[in-house]
Amino acid sequence: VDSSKFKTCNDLSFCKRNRRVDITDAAQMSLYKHQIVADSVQLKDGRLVGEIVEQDGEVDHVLSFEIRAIANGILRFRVLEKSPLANKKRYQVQDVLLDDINPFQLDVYVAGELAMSANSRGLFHFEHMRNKPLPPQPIPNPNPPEGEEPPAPQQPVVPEGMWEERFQSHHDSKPHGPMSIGMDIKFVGSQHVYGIPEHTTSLALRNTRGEGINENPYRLYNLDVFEYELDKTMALYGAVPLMISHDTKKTVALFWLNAAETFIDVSDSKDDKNVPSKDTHWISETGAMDVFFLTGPTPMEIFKQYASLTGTTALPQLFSLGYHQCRWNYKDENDVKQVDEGFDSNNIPYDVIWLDIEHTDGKRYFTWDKANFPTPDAMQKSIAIKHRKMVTIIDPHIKRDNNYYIHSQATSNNHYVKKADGVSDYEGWCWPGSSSYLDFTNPVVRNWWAEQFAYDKYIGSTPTLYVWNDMNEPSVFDGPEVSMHKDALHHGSVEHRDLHNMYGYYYHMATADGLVKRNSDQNDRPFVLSRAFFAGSQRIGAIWTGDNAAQWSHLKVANPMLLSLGLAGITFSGADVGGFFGNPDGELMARWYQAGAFQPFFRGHAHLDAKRREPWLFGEPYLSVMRSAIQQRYSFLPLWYTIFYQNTLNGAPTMRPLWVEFPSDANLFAVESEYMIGSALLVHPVVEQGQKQVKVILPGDAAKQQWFDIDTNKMYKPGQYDVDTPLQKIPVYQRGGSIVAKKERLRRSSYQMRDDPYTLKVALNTDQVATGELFMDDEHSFNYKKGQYQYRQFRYENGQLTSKSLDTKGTFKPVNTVERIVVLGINNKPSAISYADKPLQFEYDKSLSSVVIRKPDLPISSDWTINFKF
Amino acid sequence: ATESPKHKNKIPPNFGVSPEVASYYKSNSFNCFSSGKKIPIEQVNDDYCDCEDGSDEPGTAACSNGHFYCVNKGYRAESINSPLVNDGVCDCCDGSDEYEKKINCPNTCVEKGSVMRKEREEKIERYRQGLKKKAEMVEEAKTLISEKKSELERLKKEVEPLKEKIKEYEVKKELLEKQREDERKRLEDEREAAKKLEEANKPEQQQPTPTETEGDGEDKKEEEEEVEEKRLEEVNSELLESIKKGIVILLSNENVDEEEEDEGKENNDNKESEIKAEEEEEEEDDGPQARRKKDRNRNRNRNSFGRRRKPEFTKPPSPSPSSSSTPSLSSTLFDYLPESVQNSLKFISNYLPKQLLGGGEDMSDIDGTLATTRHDLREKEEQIEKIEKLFTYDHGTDNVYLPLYGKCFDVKTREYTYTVCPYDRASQGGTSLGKWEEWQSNYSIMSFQNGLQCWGGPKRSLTVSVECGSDNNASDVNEPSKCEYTMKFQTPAACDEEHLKVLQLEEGHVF
Repeated sequence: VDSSKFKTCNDLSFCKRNRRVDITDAAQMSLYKHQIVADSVQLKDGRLVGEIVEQDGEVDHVLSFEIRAIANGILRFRVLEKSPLANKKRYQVQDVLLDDINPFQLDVYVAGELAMSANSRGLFHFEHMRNKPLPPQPIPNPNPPEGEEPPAPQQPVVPEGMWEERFQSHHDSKPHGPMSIGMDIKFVGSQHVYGIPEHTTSLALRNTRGEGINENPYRLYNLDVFEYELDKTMALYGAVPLMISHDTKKTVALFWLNAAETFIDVSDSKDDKNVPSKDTHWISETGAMDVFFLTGPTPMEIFKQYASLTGTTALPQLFSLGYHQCRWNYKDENDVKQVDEGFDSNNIPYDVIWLDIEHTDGKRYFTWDKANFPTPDAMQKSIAIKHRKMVTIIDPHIKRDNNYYIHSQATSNNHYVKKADGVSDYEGWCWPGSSSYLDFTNPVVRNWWAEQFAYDKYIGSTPTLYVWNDMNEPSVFDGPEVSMHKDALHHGSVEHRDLHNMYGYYYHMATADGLVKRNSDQNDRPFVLSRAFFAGSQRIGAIWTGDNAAQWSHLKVANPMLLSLGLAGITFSGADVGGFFGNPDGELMARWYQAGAFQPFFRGHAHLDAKRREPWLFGEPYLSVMRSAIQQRYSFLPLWYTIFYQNTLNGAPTMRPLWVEFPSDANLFAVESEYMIGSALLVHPVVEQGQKQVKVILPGDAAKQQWFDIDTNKMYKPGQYDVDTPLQKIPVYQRGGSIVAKKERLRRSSYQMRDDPYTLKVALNTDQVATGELFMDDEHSFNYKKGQYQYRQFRYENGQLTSKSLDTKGTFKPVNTVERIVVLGINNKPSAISYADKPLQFEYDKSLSSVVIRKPDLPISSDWTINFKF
Repeated sequence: ATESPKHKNKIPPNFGVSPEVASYYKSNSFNCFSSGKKIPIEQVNDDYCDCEDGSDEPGTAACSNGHFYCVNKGYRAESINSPLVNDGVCDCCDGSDEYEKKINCPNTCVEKGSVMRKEREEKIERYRQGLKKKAEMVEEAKTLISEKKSELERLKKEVEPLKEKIKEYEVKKELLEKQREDERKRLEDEREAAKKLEEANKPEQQQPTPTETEGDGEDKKEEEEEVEEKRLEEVNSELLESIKKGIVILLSNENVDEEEEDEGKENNDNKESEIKAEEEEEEEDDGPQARRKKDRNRNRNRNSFGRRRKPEFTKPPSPSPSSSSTPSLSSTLFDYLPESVQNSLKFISNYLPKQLLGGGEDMSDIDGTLATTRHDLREKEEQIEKIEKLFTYDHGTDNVYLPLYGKCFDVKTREYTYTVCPYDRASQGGTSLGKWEEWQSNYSIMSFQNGLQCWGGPKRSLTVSVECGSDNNASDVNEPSKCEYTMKFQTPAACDEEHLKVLQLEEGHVF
């Protein structure tokens, strides 16, 4: 990455103004510029309201605040100007919260203990609205030293950068002047904070300030970063301003609802009783101060609380949890055909083949390159015969070509983002050359965009075609930091700076809406992959970590990046398998497929300049390793699908840090080399070249917990193990106490598996107990919302394995049966196993303490009990 | 509350089994092929996978690694992966893999069979014709080898006299140099002696200048003379070098670059065709190493001619009739030399014609002869090297691939014309896709590597897959990865009798 192209806090006046406070002696009382007006505080309609006053010389700036308790243990704290200037307004983020629920040192107690403290360090900063002062008469020096320019006589002090800013060749007119907000939040008793994606840093966020540390704060500003570097606090493609704090006693979180450019400092502190805390400092360029304190106190409750604010992950169609094959670019219809056939002839399942930007006619989205893709519908149909899908890319930059219908309609309908003058259409350079950018913040534009996906408008699209949204930060090649000018204007004269981080979210939303609306019954769940995201993007679709590289370090960083995304609600996410830039060798490919098979979104992708890398091109042993990784993924699809369904109930990430499942073991709080899928599987991907062994931590209480290697069914007690990792081996363990439903018949895509019988893997804990759930529906429609689903629980206890419905509202009756039941960790050999007094055939393996029941042939959607006699 | 599971109709144990192994599925028990595990025959094709190798479930999808045998009457029998059984996709043309009727699979074997037979007939015909031509190619290869061998002999013979001539002239040069040196020394000695004599004769007090000064003066003069001499020699050899190059180029009619061709088009039509012929011949003779050398030569030529095109040399060249090429060349070159060099050359201009026209055997004559002879030798040695290199390649049985040497084949697409020249090079329009690397995989692949560097990508390369055809023909260019090209090439050389027999056998076989 060329970091000089991107800003740091020091390049931004608002950040400097806010952060400067931080480096001054916090003990100075003068820092506390804001005071609560005691008389103003009152309880009104269940809200605590009041006024905060900032004494600025002779003038008082009055802010009004509101604290409101929302259901589920969430407190909302909002601050706005009491009397805003007539010509200005603060942008308040809309369309993110599920319901637009309405709610000085602010202390938040959880179970009687102080958990979070706002403004305890006096960093509360609220740049009140002001009108632009007249320019000083003589301009003494065009480049005054920063912020230190002595005022011209009778002129107020105007620190540099308040009313306009320059970065490289780009000018920001800043017509509204300074409006930044900032506040410190202390997480009392905590030494670990997480979240605020997207960064290439560790799962447990490292400090940016403190003794010997003075790093750039974590930045949230959606950017298209070319060849991004690892372990950086730099901004990336997406932003979720949610931070979770976890310690052995509690989990709490802070949601800073602001879509403008935001910086977050993290540091450690200790109080006089030596209680450690994480100090954080939040700074946003504009917008309202609207802060949610999520009080947990368990990880699962935090997920639920956050989900109640911004929603849960849209239930993916089952196919989208399969394997995706992408490349920039599959060149023509014959290329697509050959790749598709390659999967069949190599006996590798896959579900979706993708087309990148070259499939279009000159990067005019919704069109096809006629020479290379003359019959797109026939191409999709030939793939659909095998029940596979296609995805095409549709980007938000529109080629400025009067003969291009999208452009001419967008121009005449006034659908584009405007320049700062508010009149002319914003223009920038992107893939098609000179482009304009649709204003997706406008619901009218979103509706119009959604209509463009109608089959009679998107010519050559069929019902099995889904969509990929790229470049939606938005990426503007010749714009500041490769993005849009902050003074560009959106619908309602809102400046781009106010909602920059939401642009991609709105775009993603409009596209997904289009995929729903294109079908007359509106009953096909959309699949749209997006690169940019914001809080709430989980409700729309999947995201991926953008343009990574074919390097071991990028394989390694995928774990913490995806875990951070999941904690912030974005649970359907993946990293390009193989790495986008460059040429991976067979070993890296094999290891990446093994890892990707156990990450939520599983797609192989490659840059235009990279060599071909379909799995069979690497020969043996790599081909077999990649094949079995993909096959393994397919066998666990019922588990993935169930966890995604459970996310719609509880908001919990699909891919979880160990501490989420083992919250009281402090040794696990920073572990990112391994993780859990749901609560049943522990995965330790091999992410180093030539790694012959990995150190696996199997957590849990040694007296109760046991783990089972999913390949060998061998049992392990909790502890640390050096596990041999020949190329064929990725260490994955099923947790004792869990039951996982699998489909072990390996078909060519997920659809062909829908009627296949299940294998139940029952992994017992030392109490000889295990439970697990299974969700089933038609795997593609919204009918599950109308009761067309089946949600079951399996439970082994006291020598009985029972199947019962967890939710009798679900009435879906699939035809599947159970063909095999594997019980692991059973203490004794059963003398007989029977269902309804009929004996079942089984085999007992003493060395593995396992039982395999052959063909019980029980219907998956019925209640039943199997008895074990010992 | 429990529904009874839907029981599938019992499938016979030998369903989906290939004839070769059908006998294993007939007794009362079945042994898994790999593990030998014994199971009752009722557990074969009972939709539950008992054998790790999938051998117990040929007719169901229960084992992920089993094989289902489609009879495909009218087409040809096939083994498909057993997970494709009853997956809702028609895989066998007789529809036998979808017996649960999740999808209706019409029997397409007859159609497929007739298409297959037609293709096979065409293929057999192609093989027949190819094999005839192949015999011709073998003959061609024999002729080519004997031609090349005699050419090699001839060249080797021609080399010896050239080497001797060089030796002879080197001796001459040495002698002459020695003579000159002796002469110089003699003159010096004489001068010295004369000086000493003079000094001895002069009275000391009458010396107008101190000795040292005089000595200084003497030294200076000597130094100046030496410098001047050196400079002349340098200028001389520089001029000679350019002239030599010019002569060499004209004499050998070596290729000239395009600019030059345009420039001299009207006057040099004859020459141009000669040049082209030479170029073609040369390319025919090229091995990779020779080619690199030739490239170097080209560059050299380009440099010397390129100079003429620089703007400061405004005078257009005045091409003269080829009959008097040598003298006119010298004057032409002279015109284009920098002024300073021209001035210096005026000192020696009087000797030029004599040298070039081979008047007497002074130093420049000798140098000139040496240069041309050495050049001749180099040319011939390069040709020898090329031929020897060609003989180091393996050209297949009876050298059947050898006749592809020296030939080029074009493929035209919408945008480009691709050219592939086996044993030599490949290109896309004017862009190099690579130089000949080697045959691979038993003559089924021709590899061309190290073509023009791709922007943001690798050096271009081309992989040509070779198959039997009735004629030599290139087709189907593709670029699956950036700047990595593929092409198909049909040649009679790749046709073989055994394969034809197999095809004919299949043809005779009724399915």
